[in-house]
Amino acid sequence: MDDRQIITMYFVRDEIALAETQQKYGEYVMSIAYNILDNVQDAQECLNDTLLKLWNLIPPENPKDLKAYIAKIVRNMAMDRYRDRTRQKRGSGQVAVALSEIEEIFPASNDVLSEVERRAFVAFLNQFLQTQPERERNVFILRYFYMDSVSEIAKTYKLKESHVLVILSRTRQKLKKAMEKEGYAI
Amino acid sequence: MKANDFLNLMGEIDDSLIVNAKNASAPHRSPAWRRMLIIAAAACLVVSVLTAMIVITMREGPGVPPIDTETTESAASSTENSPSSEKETEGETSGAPPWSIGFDSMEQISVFLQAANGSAEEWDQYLAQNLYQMSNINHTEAKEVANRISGHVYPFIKEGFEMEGFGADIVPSYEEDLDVRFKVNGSTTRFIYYYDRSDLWNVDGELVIEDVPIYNTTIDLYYGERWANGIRLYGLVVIDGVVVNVVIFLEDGSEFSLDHFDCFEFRQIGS
Repeated sequence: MDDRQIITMYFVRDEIALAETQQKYGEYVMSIAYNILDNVQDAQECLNDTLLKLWNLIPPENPKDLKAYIAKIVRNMAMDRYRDRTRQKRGSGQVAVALSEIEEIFPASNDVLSEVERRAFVAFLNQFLQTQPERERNVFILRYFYMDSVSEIAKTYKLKESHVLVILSRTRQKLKKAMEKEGYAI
Repeated sequence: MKANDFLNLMGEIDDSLIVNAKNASAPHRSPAWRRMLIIAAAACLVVSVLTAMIVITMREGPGVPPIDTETTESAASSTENSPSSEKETEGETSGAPPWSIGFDSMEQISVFLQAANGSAEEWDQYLAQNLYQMSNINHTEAKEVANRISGHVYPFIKEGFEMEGFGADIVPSYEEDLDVRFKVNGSTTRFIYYYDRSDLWNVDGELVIEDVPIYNTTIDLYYGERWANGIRLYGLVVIDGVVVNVVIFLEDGSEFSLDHFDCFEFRQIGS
């Protein structure tokens, strides 16, 4: 069933929409959630919560790209759950490793971003990513959006893990330079 | 902004970026004509190098003309004017490593080729003809490529450098990255330089040389990977218009790994 048909079923409140969503995107959701939570049971709960959230959001939401919409929901949900679980201490799994990588360019700071600042940064980030070569961009997104492990990314692109690490390192440095140029405090 | 904030904000990037990243697969191949060009160069290069090595090893005594050190030294010092360094003015230049050499012209190269199998001119013509036949470039371009390859590789051959074997790593991107490994002067140390158009990095993600001048044409011509009868060329690294690394690989079809990796060893002429 294509995404438009699934969304239509949400609109007419046909619960088959949930079954179709799970069938089509269940594994996708689980992989994102598991990357972040490092726990099958938590990932399963995330999947269930994602389906519930979709049911509650659509309608009135009418996502243009259902896959991306679902990815964002599950990612945010899993990240919230991760934060609740770890609180003050560093947790396990890919989020912890990704955080330590990102901290290279974001030293500890107490600044809190306003909503306007958040939106501006997301716009900047989109533009930055668009200017990167396709492979570097995708590797960066696989790592810091999907929280894929370095070994998974290496398999996807048939690279050595060390090379993936260097791609990520270089892109982080480019991001840092771009942020400094835009006046973001690093 | 904290690292945590960044990770959160990554969750809000454009949908198309998110979906495309997951739909991506292995890197695209370079255009067919460039791959043909590279493999033609690789095939000729490997055959010539092996032939020269055999000849040098077998020949002994006064029949072999001595290497003209004056020509060599003048060639090494005149790299600023060499055709391959004509783009030096495009960016800052860093000091070339002591083991990097270059030549101004085929005349200088011919001195070294007299003792080898075939003259410089013959080798040049042979390579140019192969390049022309196997690629989509014209005669003039093929000649230019052949000239550059000849000028860069033969000094190593004539110096009698030892090939200890071949190895390789995955070449990820034709347009940007050049993954090169080498060892120098008998050292067993291995480096991987991930190399974009401005910086030279090592395998640990450390910046080695910043703003390295890259001559795109040279890199384009020499870089690539292609299977053809067990030969795979991974490219030449050119810094300051001079070849500093020559990496050629022979592979019997098995997968490469660090354990099987070897490369050219090369020494400074006269040392």
